[in-house]
Amino acid sequence: MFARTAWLVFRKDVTVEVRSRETIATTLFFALSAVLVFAFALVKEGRVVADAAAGILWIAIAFSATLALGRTFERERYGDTLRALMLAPADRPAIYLGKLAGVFALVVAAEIALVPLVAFLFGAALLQRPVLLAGLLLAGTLGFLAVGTLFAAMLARARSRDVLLPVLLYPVTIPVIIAGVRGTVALALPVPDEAMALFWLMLLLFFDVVFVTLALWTFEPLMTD
Amino acid sequence: MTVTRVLRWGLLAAFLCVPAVTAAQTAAPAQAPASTSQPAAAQDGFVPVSQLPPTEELAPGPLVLGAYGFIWVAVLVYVWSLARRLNAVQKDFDTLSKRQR
Amino acid sequence: MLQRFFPVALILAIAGFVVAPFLIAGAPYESTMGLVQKIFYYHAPSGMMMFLGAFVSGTASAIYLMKGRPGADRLAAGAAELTVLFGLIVLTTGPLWARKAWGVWWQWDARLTSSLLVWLMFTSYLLVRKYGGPGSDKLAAAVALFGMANVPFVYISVNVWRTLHPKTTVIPSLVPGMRGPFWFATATFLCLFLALLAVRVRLGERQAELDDLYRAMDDDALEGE
Repeated sequence: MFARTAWLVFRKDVTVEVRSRETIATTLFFALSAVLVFAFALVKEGRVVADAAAGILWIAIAFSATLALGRTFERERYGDTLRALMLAPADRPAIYLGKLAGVFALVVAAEIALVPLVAFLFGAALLQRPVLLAGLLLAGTLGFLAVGTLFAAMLARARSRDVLLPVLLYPVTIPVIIAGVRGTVALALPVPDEAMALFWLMLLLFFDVVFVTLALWTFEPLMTD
Repeated sequence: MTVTRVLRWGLLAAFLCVPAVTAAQTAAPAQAPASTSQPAAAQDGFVPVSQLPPTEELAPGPLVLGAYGFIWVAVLVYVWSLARRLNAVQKDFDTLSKRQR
Repeated sequence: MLQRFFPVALILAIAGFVVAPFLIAGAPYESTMGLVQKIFYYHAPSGMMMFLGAFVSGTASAIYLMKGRPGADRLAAGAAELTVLFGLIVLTTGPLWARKAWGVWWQWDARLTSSLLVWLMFTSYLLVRKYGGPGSDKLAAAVALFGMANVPFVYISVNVWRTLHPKTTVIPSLVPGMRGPFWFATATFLCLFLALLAVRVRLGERQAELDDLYRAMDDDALEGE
């Protein structure tokens, strides 16, 4: 029942997204614009500052994910389906997992296009260890979105929700950004530092476990008025 | 309201302590650190004050006074904010009880 | 229970702050840093109070989310305000000390970064409580809880990130002559913390009583119609 609920919520979000392609298109092009802004900001003598590619990638992911979170819950709020979801006789944590899976799929889809783009634009050898890089990206995105889905769900009814989401989200997800960037930098070196990247990956996975658990634990009391 | 009264006395006592603190600061001799013209060891990122070139010297007095002064100001501003909010709540209570009579 | 200690804590705090400057002035000078090191006697205890406030707020928030006790919420809110207050003190006195002792205003090492992040997270707690709209007390509780859970991750990730860079000792090992004034100052700050917390919690209680009164009046007005 729990898994089924989560799956249904996930499938609903993905179906809406596939049909409208609204959020994926806007998120992807926002990420591209962000990358360009950073590129122009960080160029020195025609070349980007070293290690900047990894940083730019993760900042673009963070900003795009924040937007995607906002869009996902805005859609629920606009269609008044949030109340319907809460009224449904379903486990609240299952709803949380379904929403998380939906926005996770969305952001990962954007990343698939974003990573080669960043590697291409900045001449960074990001793809030397694709499996490890994929691991870092997936674990990092999951950690970021685990916290983000919780906060966005709660803020859906708040007044200053657009600005409050980043205000709440960014300090809490700083370890994710640090781990993601340093891991990506380690992988982009001329000789990739796999041990370092593995350490950061482990830290990210640990973060994911702790914060998904915390989120599942607190989603019920949070969404109950 | 006993809490506000205690707060007011506390604030007064705190204000009276400020001159005591300032006196203590100025009483302590302001040591000018001896400086040599040795180049700073940038290895540690931590350069002992005695090895800074003369141009790099900062007077420590204003920094110390600034730090302690800021602490006093911050705490007193917070206490004032608490007192203000308590008074506002008390006023609301009084208004309500008057209305009920 | 906290209220009973308030007069004692306040008197001890005031007495402590009167005596402390003399103890501090009498303490030996630190060999390399001279007079500016005296800032440490108020800076380090403030840092401890900030983390104490964060811990109290996070724990009280967890209790509030799980058990729903409004007293826990009031304690969390009060402790959060004190975290922001003492955090502001730490983050201001630290750079004043660092400018003279290290030559730079700021260093991105684990301790400073964690302190900054804790301060940011609890400032966002206060922002959410003020501007979050309905249900913001629960969301703020989640922020406090996540913030507290996040501290070890921040510390570890920044520590590993910075091992490639030189470490600076923040607190030199204490010479015996300094221990007395330091622990005295710490005890004084603890009394101040408890006194302020008692008053702040009392304020929360009175506001809650006021809200109850308003609600009772509304109910009476409705019944009268």
